[in-house]
Amino acid sequence: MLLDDELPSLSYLKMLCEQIPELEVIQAFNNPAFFLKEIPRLEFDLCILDIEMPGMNGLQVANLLKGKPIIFTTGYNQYAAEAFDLDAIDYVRKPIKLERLQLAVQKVVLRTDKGSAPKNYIQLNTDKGKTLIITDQIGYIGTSETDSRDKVAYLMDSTTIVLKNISIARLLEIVPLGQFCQINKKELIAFRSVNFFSHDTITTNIVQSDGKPVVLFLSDTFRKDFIQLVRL
Amino acid sequence: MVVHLVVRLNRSERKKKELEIRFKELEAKMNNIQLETIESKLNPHLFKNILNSIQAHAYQTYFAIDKLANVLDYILYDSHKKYVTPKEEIDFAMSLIEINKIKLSPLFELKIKLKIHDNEPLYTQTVLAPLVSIELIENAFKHADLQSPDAFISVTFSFIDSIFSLTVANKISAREPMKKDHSGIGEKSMEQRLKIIYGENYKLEKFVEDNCFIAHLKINLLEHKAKMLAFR
Repeated sequence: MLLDDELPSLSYLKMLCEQIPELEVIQAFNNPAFFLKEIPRLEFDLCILDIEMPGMNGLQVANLLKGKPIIFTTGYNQYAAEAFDLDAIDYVRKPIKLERLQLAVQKVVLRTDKGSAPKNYIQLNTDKGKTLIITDQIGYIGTSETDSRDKVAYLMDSTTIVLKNISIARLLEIVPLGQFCQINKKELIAFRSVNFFSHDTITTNIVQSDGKPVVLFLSDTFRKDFIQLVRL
Repeated sequence: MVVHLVVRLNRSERKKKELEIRFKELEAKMNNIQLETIESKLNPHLFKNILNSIQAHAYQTYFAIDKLANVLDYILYDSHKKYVTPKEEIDFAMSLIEINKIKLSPLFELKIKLKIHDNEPLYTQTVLAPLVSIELIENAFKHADLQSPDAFISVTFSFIDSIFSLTVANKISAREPMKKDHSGIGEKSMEQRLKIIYGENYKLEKFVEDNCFIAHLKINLLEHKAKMLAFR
């Protein structure tokens, strides 16, 4: 759903949105009052609002849209703090660039996936047969030392499960989006088990039997993605 | 005594003149300052807004030129062929729609849908006569009521089980359409062409329902291809 009182910038916004495959423009509005009137009959997952509008500004509109993800667009800087107080997902300044808008949409995708009852279980073949594993319980997953086709899941309670014959790439496909990230050729980590990280190491909050936390290696190839995702 | 008074009078006269000159100077200065403040009150945000609009326009122009280039390429290099691939034709139609969007208000409801199954072998084979979609799409933009608030155009392309289908629906303008002598020639020639090329294997239906004009074109390309091969 798009809302901007100025038609030229509304056409521009619409044009950009139509180039982002994750988005489908349901309807564009140039009048906040009319938009609010229409809300009950509309179904949408995201609202992109201009802030400076006559009559009612975007912040007020956002206030009435409780629970819907919102991206603000504006030519002004001064509303940023207020916008984030309203739990806006992002604040994009005009003139909007396609790349910047795409980034904002990525954030929405990540946030809504987390919010909408994520798949909590994954079914995997383990050394104990077919097993349902609660993904919240997984701290990190590494490659088995005895057979590189097998992977080992290290759970938060420091037990381990051997996952039979599965690749890291396949695991990344089946775990809930945005909760795991590959950090080197052999391991992927759940963000919740990251305690802190330096240039090439990640210190987890999983405690080993000797009382020290597990420290994992962060390789060059995966560093950029990891840092980008961990910020969200 | 008189001399003394005359001297005093002269002196005060001189002083008065001096003061008057200074007053004028100060007044001029003050006017200048006032002018400066008035100038700075010209809202710089206005210019920022204008800049945003120009940038948006420039981007839209660039975008439309790009699409126009696609359309011209197709008309120059592909339209004289007997057959093109359905993919080429659909890509062309999408570019054509993008160009037509320039005329539309962003508030106008334009719904474009593509339903294309993966792994359709005929989708990338030269089996479709070029420009079969142009007539219906152009008509929709020509006859749709672009001004009224509940107007819409919807275009749906589908390519499923080797059947190419195009559905175009639009709200009919309440105003009498302009009568033209050559109106209908495009449609007639299109039907004739379809009949010659596809014979039994195509269907073109047009009907009006609740002030909506709906056109539906369906071509069974697999049967057509089978017939072509048998004919040889």
